[in-house]
Amino acid sequence: MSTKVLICDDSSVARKQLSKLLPVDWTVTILFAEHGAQALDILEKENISLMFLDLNMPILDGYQTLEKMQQQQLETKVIVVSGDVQAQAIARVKSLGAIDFLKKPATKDQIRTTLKNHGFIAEENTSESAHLSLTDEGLQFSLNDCLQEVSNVAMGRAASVLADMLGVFIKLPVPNVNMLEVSELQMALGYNGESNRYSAVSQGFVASGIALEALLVFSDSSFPDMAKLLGYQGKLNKNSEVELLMDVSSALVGPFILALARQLNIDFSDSHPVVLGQHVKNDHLINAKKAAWKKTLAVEITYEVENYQVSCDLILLFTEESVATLENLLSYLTEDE
Amino acid sequence: MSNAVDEMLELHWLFDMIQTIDVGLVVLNTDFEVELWNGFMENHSGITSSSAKGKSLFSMFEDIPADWLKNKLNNVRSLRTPFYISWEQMPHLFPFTSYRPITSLADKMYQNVTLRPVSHVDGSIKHLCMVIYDVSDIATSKVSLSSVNVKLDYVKRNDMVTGLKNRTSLELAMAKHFLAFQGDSKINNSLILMEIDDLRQFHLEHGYSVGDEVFEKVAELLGESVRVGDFVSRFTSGMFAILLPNVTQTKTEQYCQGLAKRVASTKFGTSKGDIKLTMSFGVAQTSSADKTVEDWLSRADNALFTAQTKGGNCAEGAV
Repeated sequence: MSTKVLICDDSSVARKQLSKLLPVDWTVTILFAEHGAQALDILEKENISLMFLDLNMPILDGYQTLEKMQQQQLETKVIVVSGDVQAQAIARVKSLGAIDFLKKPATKDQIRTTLKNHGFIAEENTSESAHLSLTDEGLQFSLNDCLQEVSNVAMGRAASVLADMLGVFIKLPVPNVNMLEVSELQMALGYNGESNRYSAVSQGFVASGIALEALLVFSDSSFPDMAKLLGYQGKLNKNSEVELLMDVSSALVGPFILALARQLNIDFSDSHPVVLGQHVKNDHLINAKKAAWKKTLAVEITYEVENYQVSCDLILLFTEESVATLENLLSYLTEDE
Repeated sequence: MSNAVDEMLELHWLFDMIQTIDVGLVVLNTDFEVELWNGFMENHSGITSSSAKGKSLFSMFEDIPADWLKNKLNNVRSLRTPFYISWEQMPHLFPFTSYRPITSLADKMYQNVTLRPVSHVDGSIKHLCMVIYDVSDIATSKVSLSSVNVKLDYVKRNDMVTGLKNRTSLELAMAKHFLAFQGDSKINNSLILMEIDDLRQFHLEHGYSVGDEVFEKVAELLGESVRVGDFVSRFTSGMFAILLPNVTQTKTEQYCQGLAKRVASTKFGTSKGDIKLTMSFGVAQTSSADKTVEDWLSRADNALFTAQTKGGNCAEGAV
């Protein structure tokens, strides 16, 4: 009976990527789970030696899965593979029993070294023997799947930068990717509550064949704590709030786009960020030029700062024309060598 | 050999572009000392590149908030990501004058500034680049647009002759008070409607433009006679309204009698000499019998009509 390895990630792209990167000379059977709850089911039934675990997943995330494993005293070793590279995230999973942490996207060499370090494989062994997968992952990947995965990685990088700057822990969600009619945009952004008011900054990015706008939307209730975090003294007014918006946007959007660009292997030109609106209702934030673009590919990420009442939405809006180029650039993620 | 010459030439025109591009470029080392100072910076600051080089940015420009900018520059360096400064937070980081000193609305140059990390060949960040954009035109058009909006807003809410709040504003305020009363019937809100007696005769006698001068003076008198928080508005031509929160009807009627006396004894100065006039007053307090704001208003209007039919120069309370 060969060693059994479980890959737990909500992204089908990430599952396939990781399974391709495992050393070919390592004779293992690979099982897959889409979230923590599914992983726990499999761990109970099967004798799994090693699990690769993602952190940001729906239903049961990586942290909760590790906690449950401790409670149930499951012996399976866990290597966390995550885009969330905040120092605190790494410390937390280690304290929850994970034996190692790999940052997404991991390389073949990193995985080999890690497996070697923990005694799963011996020194270089060139005898070819492909491993078998129990679940057939030969499925079709949509642009959404791929974009979700690269956004996930970029999100983690950006959070780590902001976390370093502010000395806090940023809670990360699963990025939401949708092709939207512009008319659906506001609804899809999920801003409810008539009385809520928002402030937003927009920054444009252009690369060959790709155009996107990065919107950072803050609910007004976030400002007092944001001022506290950034060490802003004095009474908040419209100007000092622009200062806060600009600083957070610089720290969050820049690194996100940089990480995205690295994965797409392109360089973006950026515009100066512009304040879209301060203290306005959500339907006043995005209303201009409605007619000019019909569809948009939207990636939405809600960042929350732990122990502070700060939450902001980072929304990437790709123009319809960018979709073909994006598909092309992202195809490497799912190609077989 | 010719290759080296070509490279030299390329460097030359690249540098020429940096020098003449209409954007400010400054490169600082980690001690915030200037390493590059392009033509834009030379010309706008009056400091030549050779005298700027090696000097601390903050020693040359003492008005730049040093701690504030250093904090941002340090963030750029440690986080390796650009930071942006908008003219809306810091309009004039560098004390430059506007490009068009005569025809531009701005005296000083509004600037957007980008702070970028510059990576060294070994990958570390040893230099920081400041890019200064002149955004005076954008800024002045946004500022003037918002000042027009403020004006528009004023026109929407106020009467242009007297400067008092207009009828639309009054109706909004009444609706608010009416709602509050419906929520808590212990809140007494009184509405006073008042009109100059024999208005038609008044206009025939003095003409409309002198009429306007008088209304302006009446508005002044009303403004002086109320408490802070009372709402005075011009309802129609010679008709005014006051909304008094937290006052009983009896008190309001007494107040109106006093006001009637004061109006009657005042000489309203105009360009055609002093004019004397009297006014009538109708008072209505919010009542649980009112189903709508209009009911409340029409009770005040009826009371005013009663006062006028009694010969004017008096106050009547609504039933």
